[in-house]
Amino acid sequence: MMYWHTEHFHTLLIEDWGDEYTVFQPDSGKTHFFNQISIQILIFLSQHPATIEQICTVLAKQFQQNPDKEFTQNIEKILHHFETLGLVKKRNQGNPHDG
Amino acid sequence: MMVNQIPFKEFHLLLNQGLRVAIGPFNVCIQTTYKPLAEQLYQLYRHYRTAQNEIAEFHVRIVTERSNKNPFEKNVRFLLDGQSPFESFPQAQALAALEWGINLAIAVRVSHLLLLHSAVVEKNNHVILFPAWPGSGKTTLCTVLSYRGFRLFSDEFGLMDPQQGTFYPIPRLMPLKNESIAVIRNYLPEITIGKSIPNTQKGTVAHACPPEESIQQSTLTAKAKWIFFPKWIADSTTKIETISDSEAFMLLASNAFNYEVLGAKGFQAVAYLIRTCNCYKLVYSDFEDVMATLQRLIDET
Repeated sequence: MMYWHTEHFHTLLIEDWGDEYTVFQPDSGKTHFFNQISIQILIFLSQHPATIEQICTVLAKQFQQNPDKEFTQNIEKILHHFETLGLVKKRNQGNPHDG
Repeated sequence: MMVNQIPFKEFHLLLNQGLRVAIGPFNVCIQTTYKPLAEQLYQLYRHYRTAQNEIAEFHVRIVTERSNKNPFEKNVRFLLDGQSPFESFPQAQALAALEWGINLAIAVRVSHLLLLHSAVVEKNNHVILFPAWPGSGKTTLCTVLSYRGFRLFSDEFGLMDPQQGTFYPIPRLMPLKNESIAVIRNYLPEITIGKSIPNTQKGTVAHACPPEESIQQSTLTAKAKWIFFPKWIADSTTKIETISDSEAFMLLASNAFNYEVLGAKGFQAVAYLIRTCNCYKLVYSDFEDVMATLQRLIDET
């Protein structure tokens, strides 16, 4: 089973501007601009690793969305974007040599 | 001692050796033997304080050299600590080269302050920022405001102490460009503006003197309260539009010269500014109209 988890979430500086957020990532020196759903993914994953299904279930409930295929694809896109930024990683929980 | 308290002969001699002048929080040591530049500086720097016995943060020189293209002509070259960051300039552009060079020195050497590319004035002990890239008319607007009841901090740099959240004044000559020169000569006929310097990389440039009071008060820092992202559009009425905090953050962070260099400090400084300031987009063309609008907003908040 593939699990997503945050990378160095505790080092991020997050400014909340209401419905948008600016996030400073010390590892890269970059500043990112995120919406509500993106920041909630990071916060959720910072608490514990989760599968894409678990993430979608929680976020769909939180944002009153239907967790259909399109919703899942959008969450996956955000996760892969986060992965390229070095904010999240995925690992196979069943393999003892990973994480 | 102020420059205008020194006879020209002595001023010229000091420039030959290295004249130190206090410009905001910095002392700049200027050295040149080029007499026409000395004459221009004597007129335009007359309200600045000399700092001969103080440490200078920047050592700049304007030297003359033979032109490569025409051996019968001479050019001038700007040097910062002996290094030449630019190609040489025609002699007639010596003042423009010096002023651009000092700006460059500030932009590349100052790393302890957040450096915004912004016109900055002060009113009622609060700073107003006009962050903008070239071509937005910020120098022209800043020149008008600084001679109509606002204290000049800078037409070019917002120098913010990221720890204290305060801005340092750095009132320097304001380089008016092209059509703005005639506009300001007509609108503010009483102010001192240097000779027009044609054919520079930015067209024709003429340097307006900062108001004497702004130079005298250049040790008085202040915190920011308003941020206007200005845009001059011909014949437009003045329009003020509130912008979201996240958009203001993005605009301000991308406007800073050294935001990325400062890292977390830069992020926190920009966030502090957005939290403590009222942020607007400003479109204008008429000086009276824009001043009335600014005054109304200042009175309301």
